[in-house]
Amino acid sequence: MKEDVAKFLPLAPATLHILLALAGEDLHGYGIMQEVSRQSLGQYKLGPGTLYDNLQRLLDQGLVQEVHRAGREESRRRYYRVNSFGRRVLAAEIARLDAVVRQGSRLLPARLRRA
Amino acid sequence: MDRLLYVWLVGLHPRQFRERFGQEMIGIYDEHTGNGRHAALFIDLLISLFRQWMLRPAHHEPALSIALPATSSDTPVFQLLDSSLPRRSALVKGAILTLIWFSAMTLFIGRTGHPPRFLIATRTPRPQVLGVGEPAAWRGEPTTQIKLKAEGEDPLYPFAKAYFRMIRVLDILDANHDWIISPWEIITVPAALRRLDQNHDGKLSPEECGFFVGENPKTKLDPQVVQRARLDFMRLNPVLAALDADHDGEISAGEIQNATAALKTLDQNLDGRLTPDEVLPDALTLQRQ
Repeated sequence: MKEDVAKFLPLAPATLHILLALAGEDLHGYGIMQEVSRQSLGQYKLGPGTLYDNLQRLLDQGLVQEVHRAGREESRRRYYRVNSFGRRVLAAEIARLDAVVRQGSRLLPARLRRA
Repeated sequence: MDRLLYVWLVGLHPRQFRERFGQEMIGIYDEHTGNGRHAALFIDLLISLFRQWMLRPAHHEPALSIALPATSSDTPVFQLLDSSLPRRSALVKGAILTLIWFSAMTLFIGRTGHPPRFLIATRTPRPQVLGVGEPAAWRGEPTTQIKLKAEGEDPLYPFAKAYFRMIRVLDILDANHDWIISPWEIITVPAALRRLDQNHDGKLSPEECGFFVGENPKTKLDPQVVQRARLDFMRLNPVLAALDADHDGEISAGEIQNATAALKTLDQNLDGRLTPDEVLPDALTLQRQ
């Protein structure tokens, strides 16, 4: 299974942000867009085209799944949830990025990192 | 209006994607309407359109499946048939590649000033590439003679222009108005001459051939002078003189019938056609010389 996770890495920025947004709770498309914007402090904004293009791939790859919610408002929208395999892929990507950050911290002087 | 355009662009996505996410995308557009990010939404949608058609071929239309009727053994037979039409993604790719290729070639030719050299044809195999401007046939083997109109070079042509207009017989014989009576035009002389017969008496008078003395009522011309002028008109113009074989001042029905043979007598160099120097009166030819 570990080998399967490795073949998805590195994740594209949009994919990473979508999985990160879904890591907290199930969200509909617009909710994902808002969550991505919030997590990135407004520096990364997804458009609907980019969002659903990536969601389609994540659904097909089995990293994300659709969930159905009861209730008038919720039933009108589709909600998406990152499944356990998706979480493993996300965790592997975070670990990879963490290693990159550590390497950067070791190689670059502190003043350059603050700049 | 913007919303209609957005909905239309969403509709251009592959069917599977459109049916799955189209409504949600439009819903998100509606929620974004107030925050002034229209341009970003449209750019994002166009990128998505490109991605879906160019990078996601697996999500396009599935193959058409047709169930055939059961056979005698009651075993259902299924057959998968691909659509006979090319996939839309293939068409889009083809269009983009064509555009890129055309633009690159245009740019290349524009920059270098020389068109690329392609091998078109060669009768004798040669190792080098044949240039566009070079003849395909081996030099020294001309098979076709091309004769170009020499207007502007031969000083007779200005006379010929005016003369052909004046002599109606010549004007109607020279169907393509190149001031040369070609072999084909000579063959069709009788039919052309009959078209000049305005009074339908079966023969051509000098007036029908182009003779004109004016219609001023104050200047009454002597009929004998006019008759002499008519005869001179038919006698001095080589073409009319050749056609009017009996020199009676008219081209009779029989002479019209024999017009082709009569005109061939003017062909001095026997090249099968009548050039201005063969049909102009001697005075004009001498004037040229």
